[in-house]
Amino acid sequence: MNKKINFSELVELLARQQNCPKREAENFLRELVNLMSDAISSGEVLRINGLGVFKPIWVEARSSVNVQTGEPYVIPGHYKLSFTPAKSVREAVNEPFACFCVEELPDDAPLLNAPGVVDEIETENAEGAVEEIVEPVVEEMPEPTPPSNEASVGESTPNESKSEQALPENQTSILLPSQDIAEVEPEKTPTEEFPQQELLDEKPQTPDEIEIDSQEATVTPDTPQDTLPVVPDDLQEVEEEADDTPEVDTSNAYRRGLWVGVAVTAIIAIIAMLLMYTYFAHYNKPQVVSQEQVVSVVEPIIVVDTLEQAYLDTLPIVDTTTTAIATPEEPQVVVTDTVRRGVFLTNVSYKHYGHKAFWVYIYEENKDIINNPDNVPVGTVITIPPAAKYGIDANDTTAVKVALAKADTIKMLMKK
Amino acid sequence: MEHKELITKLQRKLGCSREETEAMLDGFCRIVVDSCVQMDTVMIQGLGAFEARKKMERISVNPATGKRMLIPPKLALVFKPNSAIKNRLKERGEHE
Repeated sequence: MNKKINFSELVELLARQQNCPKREAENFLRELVNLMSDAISSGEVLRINGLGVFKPIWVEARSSVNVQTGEPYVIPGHYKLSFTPAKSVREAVNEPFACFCVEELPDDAPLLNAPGVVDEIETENAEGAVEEIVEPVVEEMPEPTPPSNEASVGESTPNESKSEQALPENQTSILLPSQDIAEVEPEKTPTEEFPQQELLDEKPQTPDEIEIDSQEATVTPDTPQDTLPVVPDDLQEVEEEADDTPEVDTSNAYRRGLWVGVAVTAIIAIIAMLLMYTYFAHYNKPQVVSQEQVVSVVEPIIVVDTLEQAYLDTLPIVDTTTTAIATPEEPQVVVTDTVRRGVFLTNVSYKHYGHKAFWVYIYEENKDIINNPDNVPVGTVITIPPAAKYGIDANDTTAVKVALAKADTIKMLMKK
Repeated sequence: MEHKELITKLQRKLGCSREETEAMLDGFCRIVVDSCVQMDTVMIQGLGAFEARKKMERISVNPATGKRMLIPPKLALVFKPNSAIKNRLKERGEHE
C-alpha cells in the first residue's frame, strides 16, 4: 500500500516471477527501458499490449503570467506525453470502483434544492447564536432598575420564551412543506425526461401537487406574522427600561432597589434557566428563523415550482400535436431496425431515407422507446415510418429544412 | 512502435528467443499493473513512474443535449515520464 517500487525491487520481482537469474531480468529491463524511452522521446507512438499506449500529443502555445513579476509571457507550443492504459489494465486498476456507473442527473431538482437546505441549516445556526447573545442582555438589564419596572421585565421574559416556544411549532410547519416539495420533485423530474404519451395521463396530477405546495408555501409565511410581533414588543420594553434607569436619584431607594433588583434578577435567571432547560429538552436545538429568512427560504422553491409548471404547460401542446399527426395514418408495412454499437438515429435515417436530417421522424415514431435521441441503447428495435407518412424526400430541400427545424425544437426540449 | 516491433528489437538486442522476450515483457507489464492495483508506485529509472490515482467524481454536461451526467469517482493508471523524456519531447519543436 502506497509504497514505492524502485528499479532493483522491480528486477527482483521480475526474476522471481519468471524464474530466471536476476542478471537476466536486469539486462532485460535495462534494454526495455532504453528502447521505451528512445521510442517515446523520438515522438513515436509506442504500444505495449497489456500495458497501454504512449503517445506524444501537441500542446498549443498559450499565454500565461509570470507569478513573480506579473509579466505576461507566452508558453510556446510543445509535445507532451500521454499514456492511455489498455482496457484490461484500466479495468483492473479501477476494480474497487467498478460498481459505480455514470448517472444522469435530473434536470434542475438537486442543485437548486441543495443550497436551500444548506441555507436553512446556516440560518438555524446563526439564529441559535443570536439567541444566546440576546438573552444575557435581557438578564443583565434589570440590575439597576427600580422594582416598579421589574414586573414588566418579569412579564417580558416569559412572553419572550412563550414566543420562542410558539415559534418552533410554526417552524416545523414551515419546514414541512419544503420537505414535501423535495419529496415530490424526484417523482416529477423523471416525467420530464420521458416526453411520452404517458405524460398526458400523469400531467393532471402533477399540477395539482404543485398547486397544493404553492398554497402551503404561500400560507406558511403568514403564520409567523401572528406570533413574531411579540418579540419586537419585548425589545421596545427593554428600550423603555433603558430610558427609565437614569430617573432613580436617592441612594437609599437606589440601594433597596439594588438589593431587590439583585434578588429579582436571580429569580428571573433561575426562571430563565428553567425555561431554557425545558425549552431545549422539548425541542432539542429548536430552529428559530426570523420571518424574512423563512420567506427567503420558501421563495426559491415557489419559483422552481412555477417554472416547472410553466415548463409542464408547454409540454402537452407539443405532445398533442405530434400524436394528432401520428394517429390518423397507421403504417401498413412495419419496417424495423435494430440499433447496434455505433449506430445513431442519423445513420438509420441515412440508410432508409437517404438523408441524415430525417432522424427526427424516426425519433417521433419511437418516442415511447427512446428517451434520449442522442443515446439510443444498443439492441433497441425501432420502427421506421414509411417515407410518405411525414413527406420524407431526400431530394426535397424544403422537407430537409422542416426536418432540421424539428430537430432544433427537439434539442431545445431535451435541453430543458 | 507497435508491440511486435518492440519485441523483435528486444530480442535482437538480448539475443534470446522470441517466446522468452514475450514472456518477460508480459511479466513486466503484469508486475506494473499488479503493483498499481495495490496502490503502489513503480518508479523506473530512465523512464518514469507508474501509479494509480484517484479521480474524483464530477458533473459533466453533454454539450449537445445539455444533460448533466454524474461521472463516478475512479482509479486510473497514470504514467509520469521522467524529466529527461519530457524535455526531449519538448525540444522536438514545431507541430507539423
